[in-house]
Amino acid sequence: MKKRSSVKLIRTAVQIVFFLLVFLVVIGHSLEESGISIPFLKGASLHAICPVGGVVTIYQYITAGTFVQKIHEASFYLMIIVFITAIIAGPIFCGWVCPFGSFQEWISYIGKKIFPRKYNHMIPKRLDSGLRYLRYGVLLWVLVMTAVSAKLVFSDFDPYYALFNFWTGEVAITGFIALALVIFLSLFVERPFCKYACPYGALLGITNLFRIFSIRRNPNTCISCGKCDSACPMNIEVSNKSKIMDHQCISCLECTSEAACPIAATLELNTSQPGKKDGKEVNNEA
Amino acid sequence: MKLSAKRTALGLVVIILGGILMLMVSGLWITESTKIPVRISEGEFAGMADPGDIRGSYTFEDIENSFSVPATILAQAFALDTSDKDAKLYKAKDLETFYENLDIEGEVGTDSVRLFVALYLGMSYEAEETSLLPNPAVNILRDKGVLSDELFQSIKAKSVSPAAVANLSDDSTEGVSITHSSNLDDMLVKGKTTFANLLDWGMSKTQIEEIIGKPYGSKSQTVRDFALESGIEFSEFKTAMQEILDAF
Repeated sequence: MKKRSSVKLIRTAVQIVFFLLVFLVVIGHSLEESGISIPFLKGASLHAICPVGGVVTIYQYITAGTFVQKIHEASFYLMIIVFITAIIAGPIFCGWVCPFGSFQEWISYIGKKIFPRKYNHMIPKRLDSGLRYLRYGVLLWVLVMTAVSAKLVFSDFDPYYALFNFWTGEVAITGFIALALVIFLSLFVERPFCKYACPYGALLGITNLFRIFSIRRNPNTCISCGKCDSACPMNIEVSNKSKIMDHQCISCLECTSEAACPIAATLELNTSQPGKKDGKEVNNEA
Repeated sequence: MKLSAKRTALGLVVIILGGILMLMVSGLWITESTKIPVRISEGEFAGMADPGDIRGSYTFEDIENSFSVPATILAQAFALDTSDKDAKLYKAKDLETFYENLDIEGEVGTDSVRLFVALYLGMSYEAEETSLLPNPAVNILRDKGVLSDELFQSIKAKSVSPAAVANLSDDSTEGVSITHSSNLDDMLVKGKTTFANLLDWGMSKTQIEEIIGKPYGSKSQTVRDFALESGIEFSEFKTAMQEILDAF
């Protein structure tokens, strides 16, 4: 119980820091637009500090040497920084940093209170598995349409943009609808936007195939209690894999031996299988 | 090698916030447009700033600096009130707000500024289908002699009167609809001329009020009726207004 709290606490603390940081920067930007400046707070638009903008502008940057409108150098470099973290530890950005992922997670606490047993297990497995690939369609659509139009086509449908700009009058009605839908679905499903629609999550998810640090399970010490499966917000069946390469893993560490797993050194974020060093068994009890 | 939650958190914060800090220190953390448009790389206008790269965040001063189109001309073209706000301070994206109540299909926004600047400089520009220009902008382009007859007709067909929209606001806009320009060639102050016509032809609210000496009421009121109500000779207003219009 104590272990579980520590992971949760640490991750929640990091999530809150980044959520507040983004919120303050966006507020600062809104105030600057109104001619008010806050000391020590340099405002920027949400687009300017979102790494997704860096991804969608790649085509224009390569072909014309410029950025898509509303995108600047910051989002481009931020994209590179986030890619570095993803190569090291997978889509850790999604599980620890993304303010919209955090927002959905916080909404999920209400859903878990309402549906303590059924929460996050309401969609038939087969349908759910198919829907998980929808976000790659969204990613493709966003990349193509942005390349064609040189505009941020997704911002009109982006619930994240709607959440952080609802007071500005710049949010399209479709953005508000998307946000309302995500909030509603979050009462039944954990991180619905991340699972089914996030284009950036789709892209970062690919790094699960080749990341340096992976979630690894030691089958020798695993007691197959299934607690890791229950803890995973993305419904990944951790208990039957030795290395998690699922494209939906967000590296939240909720399944690990520091959190849900009751056996020490059995599930870890590691470069090699827990309990082994240089391919040889080590005695964890020593 | 194992990564604990603490190390993961620490590493993540160091990489992301440290990375941002390094970018800031090295001057690479740029979160807004540099206000320097890209240069045209080929053709007749090679080397000149590209109007197509004007962003919504550009102020009229930025545009003046990059394209040598005076901010006052831009303000006049888009019928913006410069009595309380310097023309240089308006941003291209402000137009979307000012012209948000158009009741015809299309919009006056950043792309309209790109179109106007390009035409003003004698360049061609493929505007978005929905982009419109206010009548004063068309008048300025016509008077500058940069439009061929064919281009003038096509621009005129997609022009709107600014008289009924928000930035020129008074409480008389209700019930007044945006109309396509039809009398751009006839800028003569007559008995039937309304304040809306004057605005339509490119006079600013400030210019009108300087002549009549006080704020006008409804835009749909004729100048002559206003003069009669105020006990002033209509011809006094007419002459002063016509002088300004003739100077366009």
